[in-house]
Amino acid sequence: MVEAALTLPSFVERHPQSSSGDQLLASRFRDHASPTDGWQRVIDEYLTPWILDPTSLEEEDLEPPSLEILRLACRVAWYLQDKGWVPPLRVVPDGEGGVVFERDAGACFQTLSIFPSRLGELMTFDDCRLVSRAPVSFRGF
Amino acid sequence: MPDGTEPILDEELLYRRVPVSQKYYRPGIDKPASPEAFRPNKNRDQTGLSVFRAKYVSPEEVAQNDRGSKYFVAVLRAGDLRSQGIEVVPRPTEEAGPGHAELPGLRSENRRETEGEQKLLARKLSLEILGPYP
Repeated sequence: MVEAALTLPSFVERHPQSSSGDQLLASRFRDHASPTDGWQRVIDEYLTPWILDPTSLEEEDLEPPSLEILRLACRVAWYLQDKGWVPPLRVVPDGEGGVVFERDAGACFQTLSIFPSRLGELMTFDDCRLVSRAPVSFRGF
Repeated sequence: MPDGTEPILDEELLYRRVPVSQKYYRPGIDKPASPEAFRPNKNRDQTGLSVFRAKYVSPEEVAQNDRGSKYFVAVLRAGDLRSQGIEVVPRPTEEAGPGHAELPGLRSENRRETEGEQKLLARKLSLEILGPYP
C-alpha cells in the first residue's frame, strides 16, 4: 500500500526534527553540522545563484529545475528553518527538473526531494541502506 | 591494444564523470560527493551507469567535450564494486570508445530502486575525486 503524501505542514508535524521529537536523529545531524551550516547558507550559496542565472545549471542530458521549483525550494528552506529542522549540507539538482536537500551525519544520510510535480519524499539511509521513504506534497505551498 | 571487450579485472580503476555545474562536489567543502553524481541518467544510462576504464583513458580524456563543460572525475575500483554486489561489464562503443563500461544493475528505469547503491558509490566506493577538467 502506498502511503498518501501529506502536505508540508502536516508532514513536518509527523516528522518533527526539532526539540519536540525525533530527537536521536536530529541530534545526530546536529552533531555533524558545521558551525557555518544553515538553511540561509544553502539558499545563499546554491538556490539564489541558480535563480539569478538558471543557465548555470544547463548540462547535456540533464533537465534543470525550473525557476518555479527553485523558488519553491527557497520557501521550503525558510519554512523548515522556522520549524527548527537541522539544516542540510547542500542542495543539488536531481537532473530531472527537481532538487534534493541532503543531510549527512556519517553513517546516517537523509534526502528531502522536491520533484517537478511538486510532490516529494524524505528518504533516510543508514549505512547506505534505505530505511524509510515518506512522501510529501508541496502543492499549494 | 585490446578492443575493450576483455573482462574487467578486479584491480582495474574506473572513472565516472561528475559535472561541475551541478555542484555535486565542491573541493575542500564537500566530502564525499553527492550521490546524485551516481544517479543513472534517464537518457544516457538506460542499460547501465556509464564509467570508463583507466587502462584506456585518462581523467582528462573522460572529461573532454566540445560544449565547454567542466567535469570532476570520480575514481572507483572494480573489485570494490563487486564486493558490494555491484557488477561492472565492458561496453565499448564507437562513440564512447573501447574504454567504455557500464554498471548494468544501475539503470535509468530502476533508478528509484537503486538509491542505496548510488549512496554506496558516492560515500564508500569513490577512492578520490580528480579535477576539475579541462
